[in-house]
Amino acid sequence: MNPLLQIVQQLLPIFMSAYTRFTTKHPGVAPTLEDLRAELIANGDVILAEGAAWKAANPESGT
Amino acid sequence: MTLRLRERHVMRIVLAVVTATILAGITSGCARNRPPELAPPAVTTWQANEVTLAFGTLQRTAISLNGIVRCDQAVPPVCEPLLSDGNTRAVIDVVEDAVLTLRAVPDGWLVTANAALSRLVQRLSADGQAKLSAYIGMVRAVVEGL
Repeated sequence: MNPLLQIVQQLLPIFMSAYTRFTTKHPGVAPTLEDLRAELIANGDVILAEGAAWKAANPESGT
Repeated sequence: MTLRLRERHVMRIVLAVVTATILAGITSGCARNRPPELAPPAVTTWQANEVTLAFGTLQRTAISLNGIVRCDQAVPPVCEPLLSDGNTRAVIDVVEDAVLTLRAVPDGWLVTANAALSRLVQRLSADGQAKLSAYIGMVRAVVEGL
């Protein structure tokens, strides 16, 4: 088998375990609207910054 | 021989990036469980956030693919990014608009997501569509699963 596939196979359970822990971190506790709103804005800021950084490094040619 | 080795090396990088991106999608953008007992306004904000994360994963994928340079076997070799600058810029533009709209109008997450995906497909070249189709499908799956 391809060594890369073997590595992926070995890593997958670790990622799935982390995912499960992540989704069950606060069982039964509902975040407030303010929490969710803040998360939405924070995530958006990160995404916008990543896009802006790429554009700054790759300026559009004038032609 | 050198070119062959380089090609195999590039393919390994591509596979690693694709795998990492899919796993990143699973762990960040895809199918997170909705927190229990959310009030209706909070539900729509949560859904808008999930869509935002999915678009973020798509953008990260595009930027990663743009960072991989592939060379052909001509002498001298002609090298170009796996995803062109134009296609990468199209993804970033569409994701930027979607993120700003999702933030301003979380209730409209479904319309915003579908409109953004349609506009993205229109803006991508055929080559860009082919390379990103799995990732666009991933965003669609997140949207349809909410």
